[in-house]
Amino acid sequence: MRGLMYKQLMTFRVPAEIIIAVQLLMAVTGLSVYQNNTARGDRSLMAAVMIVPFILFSMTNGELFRYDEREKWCCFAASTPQTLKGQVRVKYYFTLAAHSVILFVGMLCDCVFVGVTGNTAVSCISTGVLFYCISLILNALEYPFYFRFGSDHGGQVKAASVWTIILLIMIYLLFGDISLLLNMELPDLNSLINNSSLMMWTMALLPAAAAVIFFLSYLISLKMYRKGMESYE
Amino acid sequence: MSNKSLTVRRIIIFCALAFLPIIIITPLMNLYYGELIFVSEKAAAGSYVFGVVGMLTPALANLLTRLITKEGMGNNYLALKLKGHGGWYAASFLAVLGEVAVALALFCIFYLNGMSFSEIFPSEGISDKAAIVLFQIEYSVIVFFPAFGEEWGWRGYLMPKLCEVMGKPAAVVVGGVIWGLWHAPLTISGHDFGVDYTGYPFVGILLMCVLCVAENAFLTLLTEKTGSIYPACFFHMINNNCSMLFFLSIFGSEQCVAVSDGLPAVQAFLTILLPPTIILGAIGLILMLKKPRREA
Repeated sequence: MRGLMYKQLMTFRVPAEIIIAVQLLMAVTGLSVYQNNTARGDRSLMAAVMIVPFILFSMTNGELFRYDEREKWCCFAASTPQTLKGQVRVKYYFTLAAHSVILFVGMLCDCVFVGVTGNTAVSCISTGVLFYCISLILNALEYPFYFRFGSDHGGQVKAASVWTIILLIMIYLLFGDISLLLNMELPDLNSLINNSSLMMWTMALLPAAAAVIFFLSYLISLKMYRKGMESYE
Repeated sequence: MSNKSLTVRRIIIFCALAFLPIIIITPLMNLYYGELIFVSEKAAAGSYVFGVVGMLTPALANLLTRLITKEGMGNNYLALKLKGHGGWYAASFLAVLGEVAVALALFCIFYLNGMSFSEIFPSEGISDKAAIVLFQIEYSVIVFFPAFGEEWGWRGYLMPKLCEVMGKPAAVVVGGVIWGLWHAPLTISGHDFGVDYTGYPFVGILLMCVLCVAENAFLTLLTEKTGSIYPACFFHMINNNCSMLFFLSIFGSEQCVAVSDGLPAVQAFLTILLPPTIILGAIGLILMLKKPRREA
């Protein structure tokens, strides 16, 4: 598994370097802007340091698959001691490791930010954990598509699914009952997020849900890979 | 050089590398903020910085010692080893919760005598409170990295080395004292006990050493039984993030929280926090010294 992880790191080296560089650059920019800013309560830049790298990872995760999508390579991979199971598992291990590194670097940046300003109110570490979980869930939803249809077609299927959901929401917004949303004012929305019991439970259950979905996705991907390898060129 | 003296040399190098950053950073932080960091208004920021940077230094010391002494990465305790050790992983979570439960019970017995259970723990909004606790436990993942930093240093490097040069009980005591002394710059800056107590800072440092010896026994047991540092990391992260005070602030009544806030830190430490840790440490030591049962 260590060898496969190394291979994965090598194939994903450029995106990984870019993601970490962007994260560090944003942290430095954020700190200098914060130091020159009179609005000391603003922490949006620190939130961006926590969120943007996860988005970048989700945008580039196809690179993890691109080099493995050849029929002969799949046959060779199946003959290795790790078998196809190892090939699937390493993608999930690597995703988890990459997310942990992003969160760790984010935490170090956050720590420097808090240390220099002496103000814990600027910390966005909870946002980081929240997006860590959300990003894991999103990747877990994508990977079975990648394994089944390849990174290019999988990406298209993923995009089609997302657009279908958006379309359904838009149809509902056009023709469905939206009186609740229309009568709701912005402060109500904020209080809904901050005080609602439902929201609190959602936040509390998110990490557990992320773990379960990630594991289920791995099991589905195992089946999908076997089907998908037959369609590789 | 004999094996034993090489091990002693490695222990000395490791300790120097683990202690040095804390000894340098703490006064610099005090200087930067213009007062003792943990008794200043910026105590929360100080705790966060030390909680991240400070706690990572033992792991860094582990890595550097291995490089300097050309030890390599053998016996690094970094494998998960989940198979067959599920019980120990569960114990790492349950032990913290047990410790908190005993501490809460002691607090009620010593300081809330005469108050009924419903007066101490009102049942209003219990569902939301449960969600907050679950949130806090799960979001302890933030503390995982710092906890890993300490555990990979103390339990993943120092303790196995100490066990090579002395008996296990002695190693637990010496390792705990070293770990406690490592906290000394923070204790001097007011961490845990503040600065307004008799015998400052020596009493604080001594109490920290006692606490660390007790915790070291249980954490070493977890590491030794599983061959992995992760159960100790999980214990450490939940212990740091979900203290008895956290549970009290969530479930306790206002009156109850006011009593807790009014307690002198050293008194609260001796009567509420230390006893369950000592019990846990004693259990850890007994289990560690227990000879494995021979199969018939």
